Amino acid sequence: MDLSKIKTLIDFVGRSSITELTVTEKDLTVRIFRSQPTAGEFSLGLERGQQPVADASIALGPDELPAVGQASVIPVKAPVSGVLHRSAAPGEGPFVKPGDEVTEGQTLFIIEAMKVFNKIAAPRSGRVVSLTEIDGGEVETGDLLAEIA
Amino acid sequence: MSAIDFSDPTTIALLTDALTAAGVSGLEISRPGGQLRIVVATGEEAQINVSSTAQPVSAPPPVVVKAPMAGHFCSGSSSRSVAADRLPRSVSAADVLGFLRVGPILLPLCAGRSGILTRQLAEPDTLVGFGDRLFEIEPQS
Amino acid sequence: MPETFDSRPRFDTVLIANRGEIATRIQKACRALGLKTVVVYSEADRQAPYGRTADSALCIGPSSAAKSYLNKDALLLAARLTGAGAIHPGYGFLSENAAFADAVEKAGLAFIGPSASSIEAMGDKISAKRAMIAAGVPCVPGPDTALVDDPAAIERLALEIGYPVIIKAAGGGGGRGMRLVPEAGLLQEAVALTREEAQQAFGSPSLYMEKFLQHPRHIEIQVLCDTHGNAVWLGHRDCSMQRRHQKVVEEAPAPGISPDVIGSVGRACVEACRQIGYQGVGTFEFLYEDGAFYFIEMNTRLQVEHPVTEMTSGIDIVQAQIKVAQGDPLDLAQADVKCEGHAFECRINAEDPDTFLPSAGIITALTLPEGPGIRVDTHIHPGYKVPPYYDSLIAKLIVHAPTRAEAMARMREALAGTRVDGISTNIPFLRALFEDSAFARGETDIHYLEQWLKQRRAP
Repeated sequence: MDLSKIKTLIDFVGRSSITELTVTEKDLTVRIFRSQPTAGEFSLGLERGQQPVADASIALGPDELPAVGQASVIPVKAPVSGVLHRSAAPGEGPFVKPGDEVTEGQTLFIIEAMKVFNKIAAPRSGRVVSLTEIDGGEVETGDLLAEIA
Repeated sequence: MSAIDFSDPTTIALLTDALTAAGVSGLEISRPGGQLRIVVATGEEAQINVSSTAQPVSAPPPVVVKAPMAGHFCSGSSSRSVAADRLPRSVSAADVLGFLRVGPILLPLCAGRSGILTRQLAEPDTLVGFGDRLFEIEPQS
Repeated sequence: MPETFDSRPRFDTVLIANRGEIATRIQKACRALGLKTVVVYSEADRQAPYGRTADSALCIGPSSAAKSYLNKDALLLAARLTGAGAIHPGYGFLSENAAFADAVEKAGLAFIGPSASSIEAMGDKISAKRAMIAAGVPCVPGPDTALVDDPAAIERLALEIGYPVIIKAAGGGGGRGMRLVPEAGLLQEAVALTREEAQQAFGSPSLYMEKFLQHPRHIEIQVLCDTHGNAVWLGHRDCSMQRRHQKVVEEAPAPGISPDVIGSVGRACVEACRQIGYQGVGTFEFLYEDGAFYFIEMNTRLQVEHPVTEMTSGIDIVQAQIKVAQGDPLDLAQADVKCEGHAFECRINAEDPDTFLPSAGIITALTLPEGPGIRVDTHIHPGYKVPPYYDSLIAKLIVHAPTRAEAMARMREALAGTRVDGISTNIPFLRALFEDSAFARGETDIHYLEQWLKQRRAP
């Protein structure tokens, strides 16, 4: 896919009545959307203390859009520095993969710091929309590990 | 695969203009290693978000050949002519760039990929440790 | 005295097979003896300051300890590449690994520690106990043989010893692989569970049974032995201040112990060393309850808390250990050992002072105390990154003063003058502990700290 093709797709969405278009070609995904609420309306549905985020409806198809309000994206950050593990043991499958539905409290990662294994749990239920690629490497306090929408 | 640099301001400007012209709110492009989001809010400036794990750059980053264990570093091969050891030179994946001498054993150091061998980063006959950087190769596809 | 055959080669270069504060400590001792040092490190410790001050430094593997500090082949190879003649294992890692000591000797190098057979004999807690009984070292009531696989016989034995009893793995130690049995009804299940754990954790199902002491203190005796049959003990330490079997504060001497009682125990330890042909430094660990000592295990290496004994005895234990490995005879007799004053050591850990969760990261600013009677053993500096791969000990604060009360006051002063920014440390917790009146009186048991923490948490 090249730039002119993306531009053609944008023009197509602009002319049509569709609200969202997702095109995947090989490992490149292009999502074009419209009819987003304005920034003002948007922040109404946000939890207190959270930064307004523009990508609230990320990865939600039109038929999956919540009936009321907007789902917000919750970042999962590293609470401590340490070695991030995405699976319980080497060779085992990861706790979660991008796109997985998770429930609040479910283990997403383990951060190992000085022989202590800290479980990092999902702060709420939702879908994993982004996931760090680090596995077995170091993370610092505050590093973004995943996003749940 | 696409070689478009989505972190390039020109590309972003072009896409933003296209969105505004078409009256479309936003665009999201994702591929392994990076993501681009553009949200055009009516009457406001566009919000642009670029995130990448591996920053796309026009030239692929040089690949470093590191010492697989501790040993004495020996560059090149004494049996070949001096010209063969000249830098930069093109190498193939199976080419032996040098050796690690560990007691009586000579451990060959392979290029591991084809490309241009641009630099030798360790002095001959010095002691190198695990993970020490020995050679730099510019990959060629 | 008969000259024992000494096959150990003399050496001029020591490879330090460890990291952190003890790597710094060993390097200092080597330099004082005019020896060159080789520092080996993992990728996570590339920036460690002791690497820069070593005569040579070599990365031997990735960050994981299993692939670096525990990698016997990589260590031996590093010794060969750098021309080191001896390996100092420090504490932890491979320091009590008989196979490593053996491999070092077979490679023609000196292992700075006892022989592989001594490590092996003391590593098996049943054979260690047998050796102690033979030398007249007092032991915890219970047989010096492994438990047989006969429930009725195990039952009879427990009754004979008297409940509560403790079931221990022969391959365990340091608080691992043991289970308390308060009454007869729980005995068989405890034996079965411990046997299974012992098989998994130590590779041997061998167990033994001992009387469980209710309120003991942890008191240990430091020994120093050469390769010519000379052995001395350097006084005693109290390490009862423990949390989850980890020592937090140590002191020398142990308060309130009659010199006559400890004297006979010390002499028995020295006798045990002679009988087993022990060489180097070692520690006999005891439980102490109602005026009596009970041997629990021998540590065949340098201890973390060796500085409190150095402060009171005036003997550099690490230098003495290296000289023994060179084959030198001890330059002191028991009558020359004089312990004076009182010393404390605080282990400064990178951990939360309330939750005790480890805290890795960069030290942004650092103030360490100085002054007479204050010593700090550490490798950290401003900008140092505490890696998440190893234990959380970042420094040891050691003080020495004429009396215990003065030493406590000096430690309060030292703790007040210590500041580590950027990461969490247990310093606030240690400050509070040194204000505790029961600790100030002394002679608290091994459960005291856990109880104190529990009370502090209660609103």
